[in-house]
This record gives sequence, structure tokens and C-alpha cells, in this order.
Amino acid sequence: MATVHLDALFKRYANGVPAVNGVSLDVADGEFIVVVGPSGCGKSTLLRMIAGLETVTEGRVVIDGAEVNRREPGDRDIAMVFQNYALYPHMTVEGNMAYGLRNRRVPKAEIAERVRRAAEILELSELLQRRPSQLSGGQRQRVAMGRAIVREPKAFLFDEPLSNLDAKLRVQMRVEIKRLQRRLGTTAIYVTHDQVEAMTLADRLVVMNGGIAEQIGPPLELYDAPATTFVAGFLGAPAMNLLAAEWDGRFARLASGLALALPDLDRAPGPLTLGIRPEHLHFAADSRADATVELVEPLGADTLVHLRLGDAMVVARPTGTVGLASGDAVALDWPAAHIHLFDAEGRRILWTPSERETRSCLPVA
Amino acid sequence: MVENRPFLALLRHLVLILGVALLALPVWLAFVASTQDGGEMLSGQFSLLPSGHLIENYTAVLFQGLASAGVPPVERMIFNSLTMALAISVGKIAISILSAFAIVYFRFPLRKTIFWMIFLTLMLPVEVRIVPTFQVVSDLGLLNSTAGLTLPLIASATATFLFRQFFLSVPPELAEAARMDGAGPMRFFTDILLPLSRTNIAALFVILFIYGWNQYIWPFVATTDESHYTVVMGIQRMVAVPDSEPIWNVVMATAILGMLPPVLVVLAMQRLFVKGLVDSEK
Repeated sequence: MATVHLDALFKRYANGVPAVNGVSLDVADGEFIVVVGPSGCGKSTLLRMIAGLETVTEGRVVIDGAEVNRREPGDRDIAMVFQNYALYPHMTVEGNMAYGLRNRRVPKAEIAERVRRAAEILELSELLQRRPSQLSGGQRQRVAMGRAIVREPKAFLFDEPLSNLDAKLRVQMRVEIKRLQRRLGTTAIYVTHDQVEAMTLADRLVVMNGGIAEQIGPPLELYDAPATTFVAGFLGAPAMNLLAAEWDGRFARLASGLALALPDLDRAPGPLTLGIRPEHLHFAADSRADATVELVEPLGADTLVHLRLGDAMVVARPTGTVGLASGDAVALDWPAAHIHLFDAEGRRILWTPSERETRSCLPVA
Repeated sequence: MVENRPFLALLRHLVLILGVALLALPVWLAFVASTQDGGEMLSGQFSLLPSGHLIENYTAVLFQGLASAGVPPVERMIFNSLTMALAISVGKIAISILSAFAIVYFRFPLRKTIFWMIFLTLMLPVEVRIVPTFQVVSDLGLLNSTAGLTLPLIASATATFLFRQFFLSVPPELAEAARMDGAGPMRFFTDILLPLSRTNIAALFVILFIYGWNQYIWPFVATTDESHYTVVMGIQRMVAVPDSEPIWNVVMATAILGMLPPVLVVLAMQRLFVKGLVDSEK
């Protein structure tokens, strides 16, 4: 159990390609941090630098107050769960779990005890003498976790540990990982590209893009107030609707010709991006025709309604079923409390209209 | 095969039987010849059934050799061949697995160059470099010794290349997991790579043992002392006798005895050998 502190970490590969471009992060003791981002965003490189499997080009990795930049992975007292589990194929489950302890010259009796306990927690007691090739995917995953927990490390590192499992097992293991981490109270850093895993597991979420941390914070905070259009578009499925608009001082004019009044926005005229999540885009009981329905996808609990708005497509997500068919013209309601504004660089614009919670941004023809 | 046509089955069997006969008949003839006495062989009436001199012929070659051709007892030569074949296969495997380990898992200056240099020596088998090799071995005073017999044959590009390919197919995460588990490079090598290479080592051992056993030209050049003769050389000596007919029954008995050890090695390691060639458990 320990804190992990990343201080302006950089990673450039020999060919000059920057993979991580200055990431700083403070992980509190026992915290569960999830690093999420699209492939190639540098999240795995970041994790591997913490593990010591990649060298650090610039910056510091500090674990429990001590800089570990130049320390071998085995001397950092951290454990890692790999995407393909990386179990030693010629060792039994027991051998796999004990290997790290044997290398550290832990007394035999203690190894046996720790392995027994870990196997109990992970329900592997019956399988201790099996080889990895005789296990199912979920069991292998559990052995990989067991190998991490017998070490009683300062921190767990997870590198997309669930992506090789089928959907059902993934949900089950996700819950197990969370429960286990809570129970052991070990600091964890978890890398994934799956945003459901990210949202559900994280105490705090790090959204990475192009080698930098776009935003760091509790999952719901990121969901409710994304700092950039990237975070806005990355979290949530279906993604937030992002519409290019031109702000003329009174109205945000969308490309479709729709103009929305944005009350109390104090800003020089210029381009901006207007974002609204599908679940917040409501239909208005009005005779206006803001958009036409292109496609209706009923999911049971809610319905995805794909709407054409000029050249842009937006998705609305009303709960239950709706009596709409493609071709229908609908009027939309734009609640001010749920409209996100971003500037031309994609950064969030602070906007707090008065009576925000009840107000709608009225469209003007 | 899903088809079940009697004619095809017959044809298949015929072809197979023909193949077996083609391979087995010479061996059978050699065995038959080795059981006859010298006169029977030369009478021109060659029987296809073994004669009664089996024990007599074999004890003679095993423990007395063929003094007239300057050939020591086969027992001695088999020991020499065995030493040579074992030293070559064990030496080759040890050197090549370590160099492949270095080339795959370590980053050092000129790594690529060194790999290609090793690879290039594939084009230089003993037969090609026999004169300079002889010079070197002779200058080192290693002629007529086991070291001189085996050392020049040990450096091996083929085995290095095979192990390199195998190591490249081992998931890199295994090495990383071992590093996280606190295993140093040699620990990783002995605890993880070696056990994983077990079947490959076995397959390679079989191939190299036979390669070493069948070495002919190098032992012929590097040894002049009878006490270092190998079986393969001995047979040649027996055949190339001046001014008389080769004593075929003795030659054949020696050949049969000389065939036995490689056959035993193949039989003993057959299961591992096949596994090494087809196994994909990683």
C-alpha cells in the first residue's frame, strides 16, 4: 500500500516518436485510478514506465516517496496483470503464484500460506495443481490476479486485463477486481480502452489522448463537465453530440440554420462547439421542425433516435419507447443545464446562465 | 480419408510396402551378410536368410577389430563416436541456446551485425573450411584428441537460428512478467526459457546427434591415431584395404553395430522429437 506520484513524465522512443508527453498524477494510498483512452494514446506506455518495463525519458516516477526511475521492475515492489495474463505455461497455478515469492527468498512456509490464502480469495483452491493450458480464460485471469496479490505489493498495475474475456465474464471479473481492490486496500492503476470499465472501476479517471492527460477527476465529474471536446466525445455511449456553431453575440448559429439563444454568455463572437448528451436532448411539444428522424433503434429500456440536423447527425436517447418513425419532423428542447460549450481549440467554456436548471435555450428561426 | 474403395486401399498399401522394402531391404541385406562367414559372401550365392555366424562375427568385430586393415575393436570406435556425437550435440545446443538468448533478449552494440555474421557461417560447413580449420587445430596441438575432433564442429549457426526463432515466438510478456517477479536475466533463462525450450532441445539433440555420429571427413582429417577412430571412419578403413577383397561380413557387422546408437537415440526421444516439431504450447 503506497502512494504513486508521477512528475511530468515524458517518453520518447528512439525514432523520436513521443508516446507520453508530460503526464503528472498523484495517486493516493488505496486509490483506484483508471487510465483510459483510444489505442495509441500512450496509456500503456505510461503504465509500463511505472512498472519499470519502459525507461523514462524525462520526469520522475515516485513510489511511496522514493524515486524509482532507475530501479528494476522486480525491485519496485509492484505487481502487474497483463492483458494476455503472461502465465508461465510450464508451471502449475501454484508455481505461477509462488514464483515471485521464491525469487524474493520468502520462507517456504510463508509462500505456501500466502498462495493458499490467495487461492481461497480467488476460488482457485481446487485448481492449484493445474497448468495454465488446462484453465478457462476466466480462471487464467484469476491466476494472473493471484500472482499479483500473493506478492502483497505496494501497488497493482493492470494492463487491459479483461480485454481477452467474453462480454459476460468481463462484467463478472470487473466486479471481482473492484471488490478485491476494496478488500485489500491496495493502490491500483488500471489501463483500459473500455469506458464502461473506466466509469465503474475508477475512484479517479485519467483520460489520455495523444500522450497527454486531457482530464483527471472522478468519473462522474468528467462525465458531467468534460474539460475538452475529446473527453466529451470519448466518455458515454452513444457519444455526446458535438455541433459546430458560430456565436454572433446573441445566438449560436448551427450549420443547419438553427439558432440557439445562449443567455448570459459573455463572449466575443467566434466559432464554438456545442455539446449535448443524447439523454439530455429532449423532444419539445412544439410545431417547429428542428430535425428529421433518420433511424429509430429501440433498446427496450430506452430508444436511440438518430436525427438529421442540417448536415449533422445527432442522437437523442429518450427512455422507454417513442412513437416516431423515420421521416418524422420533430422539435427539440435544449436544456441550458446540459449544454456544454467548447471554444475553437476544444476547451470547455465556463458558462453559468441565470436560472440555469430550468431554462431552455430557445431556438429562433 | 473418407473414400472407401478396395482398389485404392490396395494401391495405397502397395506403394507403402514398396517404400518400406526400398528402405529396409539394404539394412536386411547388411544384417544377413553380417551373419555369414567370409567364404559364403564371396561364393556368389547370396542368401536372403541369415546364416549361423552371427555371434562369432559380432564378438570378433566388437572386441578384436580388424587388425589386417588397421582397425581397432568396434567397441572402442563406438565409444569414440559416442563421445564425439555427444560432445557435438551438447556443445552445439549449449552454445547456440545461449547466443540466441543474448541476441533475442539483450540490446548491445552490433547486435544485428553479430547475428548476421553467425547466420553467414551457415554457408561455411566444415567441408568448405577444412584446410584453414585443420591449420588452426593443428597449430593448437589438438590433432588426435577429442577436443580437436569436436570443437570445430560445435560452433553452429543452424541451431542458433532455430532457437532465435523459437525465442521470438515466446510472448514478450513472459519476460516482463518474470522481471516483475524479480527474476534476473539468467533466472529467467533457467526457470522459464529452458523448460519452454525442452521439446525443441530434444528435437535438436536427435538431429545433432545423428549429424555428429555421421561425421566422416573431419575425423578422417583430424585423427591419424587408431585409438581415435570413429565407427564411420573404421568402416571406410575396412573397405579400403590394399591388395585384397574387403571382408564384407565383418564390414557389415560393423555397419550394423554402427547404426544401432543413432537408432536407439531416435527411438528413445521419438515422442519429444515429434512434439518439438509440431508443438505449439507456449
